[in-house]
Amino acid sequence: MCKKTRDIHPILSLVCSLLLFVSGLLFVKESWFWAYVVTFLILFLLFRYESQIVNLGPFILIFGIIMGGLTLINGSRHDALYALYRVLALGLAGVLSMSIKPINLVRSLNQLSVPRWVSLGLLIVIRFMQIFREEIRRIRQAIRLRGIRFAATPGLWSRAFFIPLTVRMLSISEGLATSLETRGFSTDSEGSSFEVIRFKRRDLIFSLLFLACLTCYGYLFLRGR
Amino acid sequence: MSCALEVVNLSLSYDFSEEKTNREKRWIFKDLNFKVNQGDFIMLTGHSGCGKSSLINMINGVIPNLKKADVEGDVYIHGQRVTDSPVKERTKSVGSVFQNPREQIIFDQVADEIVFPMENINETPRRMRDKLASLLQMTGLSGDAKTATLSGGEKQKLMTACTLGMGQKILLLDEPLANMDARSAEELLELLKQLSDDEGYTVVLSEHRKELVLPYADKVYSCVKSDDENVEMTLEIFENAKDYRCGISLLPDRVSRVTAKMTGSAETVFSFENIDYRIGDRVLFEDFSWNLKRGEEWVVLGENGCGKTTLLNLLFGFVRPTAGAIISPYNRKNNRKKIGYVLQNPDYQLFMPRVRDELYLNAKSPEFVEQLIHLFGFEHMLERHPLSLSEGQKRKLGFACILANEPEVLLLDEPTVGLDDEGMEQLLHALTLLNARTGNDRTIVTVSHDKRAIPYLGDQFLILSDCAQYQPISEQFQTVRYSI
Repeated sequence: MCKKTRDIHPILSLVCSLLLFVSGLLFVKESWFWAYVVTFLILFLLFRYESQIVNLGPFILIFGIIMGGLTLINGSRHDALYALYRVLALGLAGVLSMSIKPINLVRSLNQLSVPRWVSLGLLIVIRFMQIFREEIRRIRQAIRLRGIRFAATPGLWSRAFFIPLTVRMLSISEGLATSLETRGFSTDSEGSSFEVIRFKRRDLIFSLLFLACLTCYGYLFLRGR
Repeated sequence: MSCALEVVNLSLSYDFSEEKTNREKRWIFKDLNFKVNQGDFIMLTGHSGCGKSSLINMINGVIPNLKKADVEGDVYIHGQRVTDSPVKERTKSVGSVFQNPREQIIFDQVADEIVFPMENINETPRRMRDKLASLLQMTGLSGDAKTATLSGGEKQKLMTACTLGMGQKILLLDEPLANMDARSAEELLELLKQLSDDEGYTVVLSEHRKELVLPYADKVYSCVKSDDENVEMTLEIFENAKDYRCGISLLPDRVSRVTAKMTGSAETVFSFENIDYRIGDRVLFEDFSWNLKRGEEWVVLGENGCGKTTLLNLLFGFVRPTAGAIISPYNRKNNRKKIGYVLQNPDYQLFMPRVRDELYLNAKSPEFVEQLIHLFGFEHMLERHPLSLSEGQKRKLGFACILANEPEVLLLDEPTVGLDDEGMEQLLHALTLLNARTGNDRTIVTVSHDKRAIPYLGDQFLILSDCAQYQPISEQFQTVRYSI
């Protein structure tokens, strides 16, 4: 059976994630941007998002440094710093969106009477990314075992990579479509829900703290204008 | 007994040339007629690519609704004509389990995948919970397990559970046992038989491992070559399954087991020294030690998900043990080319524009490639694109390509899945040819559930059990040798 998870309500996570991204982009040029980042990191740690932070952190730092470095080629030090900050804003939003369990998002969207073809379409898009990553891993393995190296034969390597990738993607799309139809999925029917995703006290506390923090920084931002 | 399913003058063609008349067209089936009664358990059999999957897809409506084909005739389900009905209408009465379960999984977690079709048909949460519990118990899967970490056989069980959860009284299963271990396959067959006998379910099951299904089947529908030159297949119906004879054609003089083994002083090619391997919380190997010597032929057996494919991945170096070491001269990068690994799915390995190019890529000896071409019957398809071949032909081609490199160590992951008896015989014969080229010093490790092939694939058996234990039984392999 499904374990009880301690995740924040998926719709709340999605909305907060969007708010963080937009506000982060607005605040990048403020002197207190670091405090903004640290505040939300503390909030996330309070709500046990440490694994998402650890998973995403190194990627965001590397990506930020690359973006900052590229900006530095044609721009000033400030521009480079802002580029890094923008990536950090993306990372903050990513921590929340990474925690969303796709099936819970679909179920809560269904509870809000969002058409199933929209919610399930969203789920398949999310899943397809994971499938895509797994397929790339398998294709690279297959290339290795046929003894093809990019450095030696780049043309052949590209062929061995892109042809199976295209074929697999088409095959998976077809398989998924067939599987959905034969498992009774229909846009005409709303379907039932195995699990009701409720808005809990924990979600309320999170949303109040989140809004309080965001309001403070929003006020600082507006006062500085 | 009432009729569950009826097919009237059903014809199928993939020949879309507009200038041809119906008489000139090439038909897979032409004017098929049969009735399946409620409670019947039908085994559908025939060689690879003969049209078994197409026939199943014509009944559940996937053909022509989702896959383009020229279809004539009528299909009746419980007396209702459904010929023009879309898949979703037919799905109310017909449950389908397809090949390639990996391509059908949508959700991260097993429980979510199983309840998804039940949600689609508006089951109540309480009923879903009850059904989920019984399906999990039946399949031995954990509801919390991540679908991405399941083995091929476990994925197949999962997709079967999804279909059974919907509760349709007609079940169409397309090679559901392909990757399953013998025990799981027998458990599934027993369940299907029980559903058919006690609850009136109608089961149509297509499978190559006929010896496994035959004891459970009431009738056998066998796809055989048609006498009409414009029609490829026709259906031979055995009203009593006992009248059907499994045509396993393996002949000892064609497929000879290698007897002159190099043992004792032979070089150790892989030495597993107290290795551990874990995926998350799941322990696949714990303190596992194993020696593999040059010239040995091992068959790795075990239940689904016990780590058989992982063992091959450890041998090739795709994954590394979480503790312990694997000592091998093949660990060095350049020597890795001397290992050949045949994957379960050939689609990953085929990418050249022609079958000919695929076979000769990195081939060591043109003469050996010629031998393989002749053996597998590729002569007439050398100019074709490899991906235009049927699944069985692609599997043989993927296998032949790896063999053409004449690897010193050969790793085979379920090489006979989806192959008919003839294909399996060709594959075993190719192994014999490879061995003959170099005085039987190939080391071969095969993962297989296929009782037909196991006695010919090796003479040393490694049984992986309880997901962390192992039992090398080379001395007593006679006692576990599978009888066909």
